[in-house]
Amino acid sequence: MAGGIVEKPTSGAPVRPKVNYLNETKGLKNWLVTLDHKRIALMYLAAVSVALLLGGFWALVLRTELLGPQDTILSNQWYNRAFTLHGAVMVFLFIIPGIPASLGNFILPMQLGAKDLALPRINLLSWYLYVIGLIFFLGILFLGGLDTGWTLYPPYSSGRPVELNLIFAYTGVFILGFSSILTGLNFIATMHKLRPKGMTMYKMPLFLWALYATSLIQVLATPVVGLTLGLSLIEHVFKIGIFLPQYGGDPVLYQHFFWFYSHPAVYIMVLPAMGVQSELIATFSRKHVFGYKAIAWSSIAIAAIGFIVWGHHMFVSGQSPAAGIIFSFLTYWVAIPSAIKVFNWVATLYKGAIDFKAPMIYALAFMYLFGIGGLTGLFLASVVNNVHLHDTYFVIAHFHMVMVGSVLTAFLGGIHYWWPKMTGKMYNETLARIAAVMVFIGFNVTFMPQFVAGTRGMPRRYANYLDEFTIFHQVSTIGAYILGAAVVLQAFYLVYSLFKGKQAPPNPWGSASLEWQATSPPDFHNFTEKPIVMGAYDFENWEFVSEEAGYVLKKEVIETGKSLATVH
Amino acid sequence: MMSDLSLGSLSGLPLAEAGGSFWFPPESSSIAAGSDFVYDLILWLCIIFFVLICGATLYFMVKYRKRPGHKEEVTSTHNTRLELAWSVIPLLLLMVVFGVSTYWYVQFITPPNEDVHQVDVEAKRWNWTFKYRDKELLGPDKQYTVVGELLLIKDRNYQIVMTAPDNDVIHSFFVPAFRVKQDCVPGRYNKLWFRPTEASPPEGFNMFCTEYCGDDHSKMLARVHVYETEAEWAAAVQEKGNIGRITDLVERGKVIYDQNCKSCHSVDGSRLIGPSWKGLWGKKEEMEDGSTFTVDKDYVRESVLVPNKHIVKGYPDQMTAFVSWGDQEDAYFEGIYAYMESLKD
Amino acid sequence: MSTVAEADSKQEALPERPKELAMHFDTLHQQFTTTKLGMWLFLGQELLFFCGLFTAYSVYRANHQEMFHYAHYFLDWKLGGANTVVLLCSSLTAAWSVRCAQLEQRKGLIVTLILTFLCACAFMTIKYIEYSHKIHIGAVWGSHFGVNQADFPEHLKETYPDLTSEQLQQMNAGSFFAIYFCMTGLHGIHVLVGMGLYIWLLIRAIRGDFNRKYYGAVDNVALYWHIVDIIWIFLFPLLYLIG
Repeated sequence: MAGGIVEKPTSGAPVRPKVNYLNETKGLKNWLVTLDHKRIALMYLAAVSVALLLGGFWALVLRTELLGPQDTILSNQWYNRAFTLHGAVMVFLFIIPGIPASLGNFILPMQLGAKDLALPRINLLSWYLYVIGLIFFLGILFLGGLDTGWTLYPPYSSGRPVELNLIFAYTGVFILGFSSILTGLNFIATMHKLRPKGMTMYKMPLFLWALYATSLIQVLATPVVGLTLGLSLIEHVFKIGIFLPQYGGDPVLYQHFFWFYSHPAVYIMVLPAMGVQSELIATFSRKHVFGYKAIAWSSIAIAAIGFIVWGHHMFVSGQSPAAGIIFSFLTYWVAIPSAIKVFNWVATLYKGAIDFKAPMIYALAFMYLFGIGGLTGLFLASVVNNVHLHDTYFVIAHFHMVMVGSVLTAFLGGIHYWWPKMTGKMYNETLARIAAVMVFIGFNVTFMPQFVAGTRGMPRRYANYLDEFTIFHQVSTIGAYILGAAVVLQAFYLVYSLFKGKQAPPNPWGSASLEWQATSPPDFHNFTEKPIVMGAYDFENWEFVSEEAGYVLKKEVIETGKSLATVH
Repeated sequence: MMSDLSLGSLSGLPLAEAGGSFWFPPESSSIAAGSDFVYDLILWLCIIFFVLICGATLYFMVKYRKRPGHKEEVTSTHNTRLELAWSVIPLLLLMVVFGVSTYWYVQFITPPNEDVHQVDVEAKRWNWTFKYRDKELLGPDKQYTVVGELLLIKDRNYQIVMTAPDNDVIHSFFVPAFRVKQDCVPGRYNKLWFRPTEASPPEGFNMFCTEYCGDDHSKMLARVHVYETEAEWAAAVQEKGNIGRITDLVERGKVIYDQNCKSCHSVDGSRLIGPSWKGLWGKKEEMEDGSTFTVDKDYVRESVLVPNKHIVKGYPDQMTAFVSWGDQEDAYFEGIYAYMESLKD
Repeated sequence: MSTVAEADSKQEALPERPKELAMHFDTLHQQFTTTKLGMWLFLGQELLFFCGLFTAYSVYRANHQEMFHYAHYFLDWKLGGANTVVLLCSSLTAAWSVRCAQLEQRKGLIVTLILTFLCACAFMTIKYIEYSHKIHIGAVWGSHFGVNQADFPEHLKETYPDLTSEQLQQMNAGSFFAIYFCMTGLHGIHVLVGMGLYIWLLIRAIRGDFNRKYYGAVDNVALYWHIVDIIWIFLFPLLYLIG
């Protein structure tokens, strides 16, 4: 990737380590068989970026179609394919693996102070499974698309005559599921077994707690969707009568199985985002994060409660009303740990020194967007409102505020935050800030009107709509274009920085977690000198040195090997 | 009293529909007021929390922004009382919301014991079929079938019993003005009750299919008419439910085609899910089982009533049986025959 | 406050790293417990994978009690029982193989690995007999179900002489067999994977890869094999025995 970057040392500027993980060995072959978590993370980052661009492309296509109430650029059939591909690619190929498999893979062992993930071969296997899944989805594109919706509900999906692209979709998601499971079990094993002495669970950065909770869900929920889609595949080909009513099956059972995974999957997406958020808020306000244990355990609580709320996707499916009431009750409970996190982040800002670097702009946008996304969930948790709002644009706006507004924002914030560490290059800060503000504005313009369209009754997945909804759709489409432009701008300056960016210092932000004690980019073994284990938010140990253009550990910390922090 | 909570009246923004608020179409059923009340309750709660969170964030952003001369201070990193407070208070508030919401949900799922009138709904790709019976108003043993129009009487309790044919897909019945929704699942009978409380405007209320069901999902719409009086309703049902009112047989066939057949059979020769009707009448067709049939009255009748008996070669077994025309069946078939014959060349 | 340095300095003090020890571990023990934790997590995943099928089984059983009762006559408890015994034996030899590996009994290890593999073969053979009979008489999934009354099992004919094939079809007996084939089929795939793993272990055992400090692979595969066994222990009564 960036292995061939020429090193230009100038006096007083940070110096790029001559040998690092990027250029330790050269050639595509060495990358493809690498067991190094950092290289695998970069390969994941490349692959999920492809998925993001693909999913984003379909989003823009379908938003363009919705500029007018009748057909504008697509027939109904193609609109249906566009939203299916947008949803399936974004959910299965981008948001679920996005943060854990790319950023998590890179950062997790480094934040622990370990040399690699516990099972490096499994890690590589997981990447290959992901790529195979990606290829299946590209195959669907070449076969002319798929119009089942990402949820693949029977009888509409498996009940039809045998279709190769549907077989591809079932197989692809099945394989991606195993990729996700393997990543999860690898992370858990690493956090339990590869913590060096002194690195207790409570010393781990909150990003790792979030990844731990995510991994639990990946290991315990994903197999169910694997089984469900496996059964659907068999059902589709042999019509065995598991989910298809005309052969004695029950389509609502599919929905239970599907949401048993896909609701926790929402937390697979959002928990790592919350983890990134904790890092960003603390670092850029230079404050020890407030309520560390509350944030850590709320991640676990979200994972646990997240398993028993799936029925709130099915309030109008014909499940029993008693079940509806119970699921509504439990859904209100899952709001509390999320709220706790938000309050703690706000409290962390108190008396800090808030630095509006690009990652922090994303983090502050996250507060607002996740606030809206989370709070609008309260309407949907109420059964009597959900009956009206289910499958309308209100739901679309709500989950995009969470999945895109929060997860994509945190993903982008995390990419910017760790970019200097991963590539050893600084991006253009001004452009990055402009892009961050564009993303924030774009989200709001896209999704705020959709809430109102939804309460007024605009159903989702509609290729054509009644005239009265036109204005909402048009504003929304303009927002989508702003978002699209922001992503293009980001792609531009990030790629540009790889070639022409300034060399990054080891710690440009003054962060205190262990990965910043490594060089930028890190050595193949992660750390050239053994990192000093300290609290992840002990910012007192670092001071800004202008000749280095970044932060360095204070002398007394290096001499004593002890943190200067007085408050824990 | 309830509308006091409504934000819409304050906003001055365009309203949803005449008589509606900023957020919602007019409240037109027994459940709508409760649903909107819960919505407004949660909305206010959300606004308070949102203003608190974002207000504090904005204030800190300005007050503690990094600038020359300003340095962060070390503050305590946790405060058990504060943390308990901001966990328990929201939880209690949410439990109140849950209680109020569930109270209204229980109203929504509990139909009155008596005086409930049933309307059967069948959802098919891609239309809605409503079946009306009423001993007093329509006569005993009379059933009227109307496609695409739900006809109701104001202040009557209705039980909607809905299903979809076994080989169809899931649809969902949604009337925004009533705030009601229920999936129509093949092989199941799902029920929904409500009482319309407002007469509809002349063009009727919107009704949507809200469970994705394929190509014409977004065209699977219907109109809901709520009449003030029983007489108006009975007249409308007898008018719209009587296919024989259209005396020109070809015209009648066209109406039946548009309501029932259009989504799978073209009339211009293009291939949809089933064979095109253009030039079909009188043609010899080979079946999946090897037999051949001439498309005539007998074959068409069988195909409509028992569609899976003889499938034309190369086409999927996907058509649902049309068996709800009751004593108007012959009138329907006369129209279909005439229309198909008119498409012969 | 301690550092990574301490852990690393211990490792540097060792004269040389064992050849089996991967770069990122400090000791063989750490490596062993890590892979074992990984395997336990994988088994947890397996359990959830099968849980879906057990749930489907329960739901359909509750909804179609009568049909499940009739249909279970088509399964031969004697063959199922034989398979249970075969699998229990194989679990014993699998556990034994771990013991042999720990004690560096190379010959014993090879013998127990071969025995486990042979048990798995026996299991699959019996499964093949059962499957082929069912497919032959038409006791299969979904709408393909159609068994002539003459092919009904004797016991079923005696208990319910009036039961006809059409009645069974009407009750959607095919969905019982859909569940039967999915559950036992998925289990069978796990047995096949296990057989592959045992061949791999056998090759490594013959090569002499394992010793008292490095036998994690034998241990982990045996764990996997036990879960395959346990799942069958549940499948057998649910499908063959309860009527």
